[in-house]
Amino acid sequence: MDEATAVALAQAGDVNAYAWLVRRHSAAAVRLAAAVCGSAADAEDAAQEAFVKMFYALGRFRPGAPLRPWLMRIVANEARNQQRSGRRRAALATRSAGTAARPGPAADELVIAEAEADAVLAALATLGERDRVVVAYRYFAGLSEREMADALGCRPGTVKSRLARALGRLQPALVEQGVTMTDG
Amino acid sequence: MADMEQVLSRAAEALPVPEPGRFADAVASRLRSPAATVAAPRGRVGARSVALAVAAVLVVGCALVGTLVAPVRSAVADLLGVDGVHITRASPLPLPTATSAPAPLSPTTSVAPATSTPADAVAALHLGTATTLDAAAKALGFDMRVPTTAGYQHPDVVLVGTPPAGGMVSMVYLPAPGRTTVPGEGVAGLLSEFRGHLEGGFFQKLASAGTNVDAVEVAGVPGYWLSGQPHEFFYVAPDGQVDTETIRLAANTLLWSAAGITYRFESALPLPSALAIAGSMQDAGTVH
Repeated sequence: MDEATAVALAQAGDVNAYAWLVRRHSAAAVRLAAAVCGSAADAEDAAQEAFVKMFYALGRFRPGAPLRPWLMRIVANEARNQQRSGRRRAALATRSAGTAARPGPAADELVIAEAEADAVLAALATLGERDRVVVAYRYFAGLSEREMADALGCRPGTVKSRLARALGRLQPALVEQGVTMTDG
Repeated sequence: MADMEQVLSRAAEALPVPEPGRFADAVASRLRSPAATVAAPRGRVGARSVALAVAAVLVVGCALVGTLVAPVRSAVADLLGVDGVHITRASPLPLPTATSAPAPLSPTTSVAPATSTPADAVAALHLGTATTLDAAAKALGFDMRVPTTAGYQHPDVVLVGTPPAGGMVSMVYLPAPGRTTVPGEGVAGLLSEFRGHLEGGFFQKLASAGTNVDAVEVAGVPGYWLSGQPHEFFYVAPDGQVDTETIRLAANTLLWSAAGITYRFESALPLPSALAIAGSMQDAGTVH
């Protein structure tokens, strides 16, 4: 099955086809949600909620339009709503490894990587929403600049400068969180 | 920045992600549950106003206790030229409160109240940067409309922010004589305007338990009255795609769209009062 077929089937109400789409985009969606809402622990809930809503909105999705930016925009919106609500503001800890699938580096490396990811989320949380979402689209959802332009509703030429400005503001926050960088 | 990009990419990789099959199954099972079923657009049912009580069910996350129960099904209303209202269940939406760690207003804001309370209340809504109606109209490229009802002609704070992608103007009415304060919010009303429209056969609403949706007529166009709890709703953005927006106050909300602009008025007022205010709206340029 290709994506266009899955979209068409899902638009007709086929939940299995939609689940196929969800599988393809789940990792990017959860990472994006974590970066936007500032909590890895809440990211899965936010992403799941977004995917449920998207199913209902999919009927209005324009065939042939790029799917990923649209999906990610709704995920970011949901995560942003969660973050705004403050209902889980306290949670900046990542979920314990037990419930999540991970690639398999050694345990100590894993701990270091987790600690760094926590610090990065904490640094991102100090940014304004606009900056945080731009960074999250690029590095956590893995969107291309063109896809980012679609998701942000801006011109492709604007994406680069918005990202550069956001990264410029993120850098001191990362340093503040103790993230070490060799340059830049 | 190369090193910073590596740090970010590494952080993304290190984040725990659910096993895709399990995650997709969880989404699918919610979609298959009777409570989640969305009514297909249907023909007119003839009622003039239908209150859709939404009992709900929640499934998701750890923060939600237990599961529920009552099938929420939307019998949909098809009133006033609207093909259908789709009701789906959702997690109870968070209540924004002015007391929960309000974010500071942007440094560029012009709001500098004598006490921090109103500013905190406004800042907690995360509506963007304070501005004027004229500047907002220039920034957003459409004319704001404001009520002419006594007490509501002059919002206390005007803000512009995103999302939505094209920007949204928000007019905040602070507590004052003649206005009804929204309990727990520190504000008396919020009027938001942004590009997009609510679509008949599509308007989707995700409601938490006990929410009522009434199809109403607002100044001659179809609208929706959402009462009881905060909500999220879908609208159609100018690029034709569907997007979501969140009701900000734990209040009653009147939603309608006209000429490509979606309007949202949140307050503690009863429907007739909200309709009167909405019906009084005129272009800001003609009022001020």
